[in-house]
Amino acid sequence: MSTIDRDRLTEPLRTTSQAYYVAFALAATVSLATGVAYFLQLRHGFAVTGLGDWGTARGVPWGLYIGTFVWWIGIAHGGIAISAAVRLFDLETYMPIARIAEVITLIALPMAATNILFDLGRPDHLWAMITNWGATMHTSPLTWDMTTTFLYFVMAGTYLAITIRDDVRYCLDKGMLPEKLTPLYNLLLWGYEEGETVKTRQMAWWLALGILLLVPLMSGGVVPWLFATMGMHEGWFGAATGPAMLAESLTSALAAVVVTAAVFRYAYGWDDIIDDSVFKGLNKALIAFILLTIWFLLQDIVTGLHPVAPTATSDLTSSLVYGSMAAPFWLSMTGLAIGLVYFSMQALKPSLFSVRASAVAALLVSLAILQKKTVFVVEGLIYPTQEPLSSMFPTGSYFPTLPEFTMALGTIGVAALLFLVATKVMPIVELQEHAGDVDVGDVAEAEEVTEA
Amino acid sequence: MVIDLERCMGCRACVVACKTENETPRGAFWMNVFRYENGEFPDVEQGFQPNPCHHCSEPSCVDVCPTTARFKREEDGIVLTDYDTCIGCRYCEVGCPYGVNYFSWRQPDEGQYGFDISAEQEGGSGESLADILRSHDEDYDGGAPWSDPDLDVEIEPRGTEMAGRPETGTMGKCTFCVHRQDSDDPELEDTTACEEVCPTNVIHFGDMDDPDSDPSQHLEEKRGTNRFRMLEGTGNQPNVVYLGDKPPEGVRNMEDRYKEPEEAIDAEATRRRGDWL
Amino acid sequence: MSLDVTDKEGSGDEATVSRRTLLKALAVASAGTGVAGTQYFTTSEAQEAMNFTAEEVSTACWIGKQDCTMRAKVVNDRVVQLRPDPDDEVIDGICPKGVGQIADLYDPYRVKQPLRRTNEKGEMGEFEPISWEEAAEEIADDLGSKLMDDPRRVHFQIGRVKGPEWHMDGWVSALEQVYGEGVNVRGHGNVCASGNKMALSRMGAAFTSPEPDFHNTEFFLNWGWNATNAGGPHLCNVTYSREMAEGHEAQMDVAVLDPQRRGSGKWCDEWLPIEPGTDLAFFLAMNNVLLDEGYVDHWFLRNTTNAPCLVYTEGPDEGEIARAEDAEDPVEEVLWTEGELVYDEDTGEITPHEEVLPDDPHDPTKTASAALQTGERLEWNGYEVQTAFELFEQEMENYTPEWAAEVTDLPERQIRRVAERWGEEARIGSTTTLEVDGETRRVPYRPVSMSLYHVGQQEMGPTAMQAGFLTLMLVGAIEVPGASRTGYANAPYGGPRRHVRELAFDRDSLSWEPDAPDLEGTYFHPDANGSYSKIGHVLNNPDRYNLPYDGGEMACVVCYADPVAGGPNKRRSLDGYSRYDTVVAVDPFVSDTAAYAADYILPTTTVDKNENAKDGMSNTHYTSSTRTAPIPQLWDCRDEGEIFKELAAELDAGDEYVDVINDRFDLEGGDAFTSVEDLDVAETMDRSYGEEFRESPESTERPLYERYWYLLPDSPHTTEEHRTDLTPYGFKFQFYVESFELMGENVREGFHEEYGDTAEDEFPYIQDINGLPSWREPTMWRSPDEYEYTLFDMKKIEHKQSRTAQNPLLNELDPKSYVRMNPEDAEDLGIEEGDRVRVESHNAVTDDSYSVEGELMTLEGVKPGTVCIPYHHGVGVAHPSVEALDEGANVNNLFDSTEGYISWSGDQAFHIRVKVEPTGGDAA
Ligand SMILES: Nc1nc2c(c(=O)[nH]1)N[C@H]1C(S)=C(S)[C@@H](COP(=O)(O)OP(=O)(O)OC[C@H]3O[C@@H](n4cnc5c(=O)[nH]c(N)nc54)[C@H](O)[C@@H]3O)O[C@H]1N2
Ligand SMILES: Nc1nc2c(c(=O)[nH]1)N[C@H]1C(S)=C(S)[C@@H](COP(=O)(O)OP(=O)(O)OC[C@H]3O[C@@H](n4cnc5c(=O)[nH]c(N)nc54)[C@H](O)[C@@H]3O)O[C@H]1N2
Ligand code: SF4
Ligand code: SF4
Ligand code: SF4
Ligand code: SF4
Ligand code: SF4
Ligand SMILES: [Mo]
Repeated sequence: MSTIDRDRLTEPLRTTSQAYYVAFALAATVSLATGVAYFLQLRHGFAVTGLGDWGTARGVPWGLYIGTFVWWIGIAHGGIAISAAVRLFDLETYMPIARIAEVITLIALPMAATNILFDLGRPDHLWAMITNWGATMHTSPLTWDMTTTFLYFVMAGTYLAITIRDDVRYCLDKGMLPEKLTPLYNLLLWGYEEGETVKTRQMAWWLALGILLLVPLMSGGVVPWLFATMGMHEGWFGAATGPAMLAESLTSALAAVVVTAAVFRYAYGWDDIIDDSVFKGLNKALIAFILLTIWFLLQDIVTGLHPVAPTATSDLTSSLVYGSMAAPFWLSMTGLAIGLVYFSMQALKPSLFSVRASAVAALLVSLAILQKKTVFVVEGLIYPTQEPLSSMFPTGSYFPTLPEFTMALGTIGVAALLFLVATKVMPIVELQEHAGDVDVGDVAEAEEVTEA
Repeated sequence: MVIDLERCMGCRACVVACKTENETPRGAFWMNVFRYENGEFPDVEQGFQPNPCHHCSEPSCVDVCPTTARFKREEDGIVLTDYDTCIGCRYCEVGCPYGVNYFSWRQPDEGQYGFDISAEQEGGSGESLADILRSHDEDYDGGAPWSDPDLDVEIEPRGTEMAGRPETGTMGKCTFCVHRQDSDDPELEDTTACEEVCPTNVIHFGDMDDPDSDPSQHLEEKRGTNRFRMLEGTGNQPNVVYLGDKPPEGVRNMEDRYKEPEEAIDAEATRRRGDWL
Repeated sequence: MSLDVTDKEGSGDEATVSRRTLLKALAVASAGTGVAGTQYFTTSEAQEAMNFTAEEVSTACWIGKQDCTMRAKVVNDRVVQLRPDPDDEVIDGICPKGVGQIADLYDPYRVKQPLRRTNEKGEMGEFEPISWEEAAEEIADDLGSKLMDDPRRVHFQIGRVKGPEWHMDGWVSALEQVYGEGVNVRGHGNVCASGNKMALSRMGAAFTSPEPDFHNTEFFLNWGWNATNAGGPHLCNVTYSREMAEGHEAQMDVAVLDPQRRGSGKWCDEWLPIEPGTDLAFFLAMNNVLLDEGYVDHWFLRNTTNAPCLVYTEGPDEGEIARAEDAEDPVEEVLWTEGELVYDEDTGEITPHEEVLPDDPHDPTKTASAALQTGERLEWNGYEVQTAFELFEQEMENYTPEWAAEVTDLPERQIRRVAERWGEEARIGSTTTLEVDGETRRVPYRPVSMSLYHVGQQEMGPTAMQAGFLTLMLVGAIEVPGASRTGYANAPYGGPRRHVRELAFDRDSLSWEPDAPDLEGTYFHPDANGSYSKIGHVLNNPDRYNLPYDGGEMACVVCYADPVAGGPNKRRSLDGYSRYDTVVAVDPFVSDTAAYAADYILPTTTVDKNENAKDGMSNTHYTSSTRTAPIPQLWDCRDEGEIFKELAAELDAGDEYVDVINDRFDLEGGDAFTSVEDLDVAETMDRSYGEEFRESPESTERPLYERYWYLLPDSPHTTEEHRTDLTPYGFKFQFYVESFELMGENVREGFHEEYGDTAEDEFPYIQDINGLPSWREPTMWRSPDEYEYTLFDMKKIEHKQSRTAQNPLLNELDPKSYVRMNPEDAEDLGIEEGDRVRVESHNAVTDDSYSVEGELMTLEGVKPGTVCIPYHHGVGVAHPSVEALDEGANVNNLFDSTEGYISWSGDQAFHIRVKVEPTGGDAA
């Protein structure tokens, strides 16, 4: 790897292809549509959404926005987890995707927040949450969520900042970075010393450890807690919700990384930099996580369809399996299944492997998880609360409107746009100069030294 | 609040009285009355159950609120929404097991009797009643004629708006007619609109800790009657006490297919208008 | 069009000021709520302290039939809320319609000034605004020339009015004084409940239906009384339901005879899901069991009814009661015709009934010696006679519970059980004491009762009531504590009885030449009450019914009524009313009648009306109040009192109108109005009731002697001419309705002469006019088997006939008419809740069929084999909201009003056979 030419890695910074412009235009258009839709929503209120009140109004107060929020959070958590794992366990092969994963996290988090913003309506509303932080921190899951998202953003940001300083120094020196942003880079490089790498690597290692420990707690914890505090809603309650969510998060994040990495490899001809083994490995991991996701699901469905299941649970489950929610549910299952089948087949029969197919399968899987998350949010509200109230309330229904689709899915476009910009302001693959120089043992030693 | 199910006929007068008292928009039933059926022909039971906010002692809606907009007023235990603070995240709605929260998807006027839906807004062909009023007098700039200024009072302990119609983007629910409780009119104090209108005296509102209050007296009168609270298992400690039989599990709701509010508002907004009307 | 607040006369300046403050206040009040569309970025500022004055005005509900008193909260000339009036003891609250009518007050599509039609009648109307002066002039011209020629060319159609009808009565009376008698005035009774009243008033004495003494009844038979949704006899549901709740809580069990379970709500201990239209069979079987088991109240039957009277069973007077030589004329003396013969079981002689009565008619322990059964063959004037009771026994013999089970689809066991319970719980012979004005009185105690109202609108409704009243009579459960009150009129009145007796005893009284489309007094409908829904059919076939004029030569004023919507078949009514040369609709909205048939619409008021409310009466209290307009009247609308004043004046009958009003309100001397210009409705109310009525209604307790007719002689309200002293009730109950028997024979003879042997096929109802009830199969059962369900309907608490269709608050509560069926039937048809279905009805006589589409609602509480579609929806279709909100099927498109679907009294049957099929659409 170290033989790879830094020039090739900084190519995105130096040259801009036609494909880039097309992609940029595309992403910008989607982003613009998102903005317009948001404006429409501001202008006409939530009336433009398919949302409604649960209960007598047979509506669903949380829908695609919250589903997409949960999805982005999952990707964010998974993204950083992947990068952390790469660094922590020094999975050298995967080093080229480490930063991609980090950037995914850094973009995904604001996208998650944006979806919350869409859901709240007015931007100034966020402010009220901040001002009341102290009073609500101990009870409100949304406050927890906001807090952890923020914390995550800071951690991921720090993580990226300390691991990127070397590369920025290098590129800056070479004049590859946009001049206008020089003050920003200088800020980033504040106190930079040549050869600090060992120390930053050590810091990154510890940070990675922290992140990895936090991921299950946050992805598998806070988000499900968000729902589990309202355990009276059928479908949101259950001991397995946490691990299930974690599995889904990692699946969608891995898939997102696969897709992004594939795009880079294709765009810059980095076949040798992000080589097949990276994808093959990621694919293998995906098999495991998809299986895990499906396994958790089966768990729910089997218990839900069991004759002794409580009425509300069985109503909900049957609606998923063959009722009003069957279409979105099976669509998402199909997505997962296609991914699973492909990934398994290519693992058994390597001739079936191709990066393009992997990317398509991963895209499907990722969208399937988005669908699944939305179904999860909605299902608890379509069959809300407990007996006998659940029988007395009519069953709800929900279908997102065009503005909702535009805004929620539009955040993918915005993310793409941000990614495209990111490739112009930072080296997106670590330049790896010293890749071979630092190993885990060294880090541990260095740590000891510092401690002493 | 004590609700005597043995006397409820499911007429839903309380539902409408709450709506006109609080000027809530179409589709918002701060007071909702279940109508349900149980059993099979010919052994069919039918029942009716009013379901306002239960003003829980341990309200889960308050716990999940990220802004303190939803809070429990210490002096009398009424659970209120401070419209000035509420950010419309709908967490309280999701976090309440009773299904009594109604978000203001629109400005209340718009959803009231199709009053303030203008042509331009909904692509309708006619003016709204509000337009008619406006074109008649240029000083006039909105507001439904039935809008009651008594709802605009500032409610303690925060001195902000918490009574009646919530604005767009904020959460509404039964306030136990807080503007009545806080008014200095003795005819209104200790009463609620739903209680007052009920033709069969189902609803008894007052201080449950006071043995002389109407609800306490009624409970005393019907000592022998079965009593229960809804969803006691959730730990919310609801404060609405029902007299009569608990609705059994698996009942079937009946006669409650309300029109989708948005659909109805749109229909009212785009209605055809005879030139001669 | 603009909102115009009509200035009250003489207070122009003030009104202008108050209007400005109104608009200012509106502006301030709305500042916080912002203007639609832009509010998203505006946060509400803390409001400045506002100046507004709130007052409370006592007014009355303008929708329902009980005129509940309400308090309008008025802020700067705006009504902001309507609440029940706490000073009214008849009510403890009001229904959703009472509260919701605030939306009607401000409805932007109220008719705001007089309108004149600009397009063809029979299609959806187009109108142009005209001034009141123009309208009055044109209408007076039109009506004037017709009246001048023949008053029969002018008709007046009233519906279910609010308050007393003095304005309309006054107008008609004034016209008749000027132009001569003959104006055809038609009420709404024949679609409402006169089916049962026809029988009850002829058997009892008041034109009304039974109401239970809920505070003492122990077993209540709810006969198709939709208590939780509608009302019944003279109130809406609110008072009855409260009393029923109180009774149920205390001592009462309820059995419900109804194909649907919903109407009795919580208060149903036993449900008898009867096949619609077979109630007659049920009560015949009830009577069969009561007789069989000896549940017979001898005191009641012998002392106060004609059950012991002897009836000729042969000879020229067959069917008539045997009378002594010197007997009184049954047409003249209707309350108790002296000289009717009975068999005195003490002496074995045939003697006049009154001679064997105990000395003290109020002593419940002394039974007359008039035999119910004689046990021997008796003759009078050479012909066999039998007691009415014996005839009854013979008639009831075959109507066993087994037989009735077949017909009614109720289990035999259940019929028997309910009958036995009825007999047992009646505690025949028991007495109780009552404290009346300090005096202790011993009175019979019969704690069983029944109630019914609109359910009497069946093809054999009057006959079913006849049988049902006999069920009450057998156990003496009438007008005593615990029993049914057979009327709310406190003074029995002989009028309706006299009328049928005239027809019965004068064989030439009936003709084939009606004066008007109601066919009243003819062979077609000798004893009727407006034929509300048949009018359209008759107008469409003037020759068949020998009308003196074609529709095109006649005019009709329709006030407080919507016959096109409310009188089935809607198509027939629409065509019929459109045939009128001129139709004037007095209505605050464009009703279906106005939309399709009116030449003029005169806009009247809603909550902003001045009128005296009807006096309310519960078991325990009376209330009187006025309906005061709480705010200046909106737009250019006028009260009925003003409209008819105007029309009378324009027709040169102004002075006569004034006289009637003075008379009606007892205005004398300085209080009396002297000219039509002075007359003012609000002023009339004030002079008559006193201004304090604007503040609050007046409730008084109902004295015991006015709660049970048994105590009636003590009432200061009754005079000698209202009653006979021979019985505590003041009149003799007609156990055997001699007048029906004789009138029925007249009618059948006439029909056989005119129509030959097919008379019964063409006019099935002529079989039903009899002294004692007997069974035949309903005509609808002749429909082909594919019409496998019986359609019936019911009212809903959220609506009042057609007059609430436009109300958005009520539409919100109850947005649509659903086709209600039992899930079992739905499954057979392969449909489920929410599916769209087509319902097609079939007229077995004319072979016509009609269909509507609707959405299915499945309820276990609906009898399998039946379909129920509530009324109220798919009407008022000219109102833009109604049209936009698409309320669904109107059931009056399915029923029919031709012979076979009406009773002998011209009463509409709300039953027909239908088939149901899925349309394939799923509207869920
Ligand atoms: N299928 C079916 N049909 C029914 C019934 C049923 O249960 N089912 N019910 C029947 C019964 S019981 C009855 S009583 C009849 C009632 O029949 P109607 O008395 O004809 O009653 P509505 O249909 O309410 O029509 C009343 C009309 O009066 C108008 N109106 C309202 N307020 C005022 C006012 O203040 N002044 C004037 N001048 N007009 C006013 C209303 O706008 C409406 O057009 O309907 C009968 N029709
Ligand atoms: N909310 C509301 N209240 C009203 C009115 C209204 O329009 N709306 N109208 C007022 C007026 S004008 C009237 S006349 C009264 C009427 O008051 P009700 O007579 O109490 O009410 P309806 O709904 O007309 O009654 C019809 C009942 O008869 C049942 N039924 C139908 N067919 C049969 C049958 O063949 N046999 C038996 N046993 N039952 C049958 C129906 O299921 C229903 O329960 O209500 C008054 N109150
Ligand atoms: S008003 Fe009274 S009787 Fe009617 S639904 Fe409400 S609580 Fe029940
Ligand atoms: S019922 Fe729901 S909204 Fe009301 S206090 Fe309890 S949790 Fe909160
Ligand atoms: S909607 Fe308003 S009151 Fe409810 S939780 Fe959110 S901020 Fe609190
Ligand atoms: S107490 Fe007031 S706010 Fe609550 S349901 Fe009753 S009327 Fe509505
Ligand atoms: S019960 Fe009848 S009179 Fe009373 S408010 Fe309701 S509709 Fe009006
Ligand atoms: Mo009626």
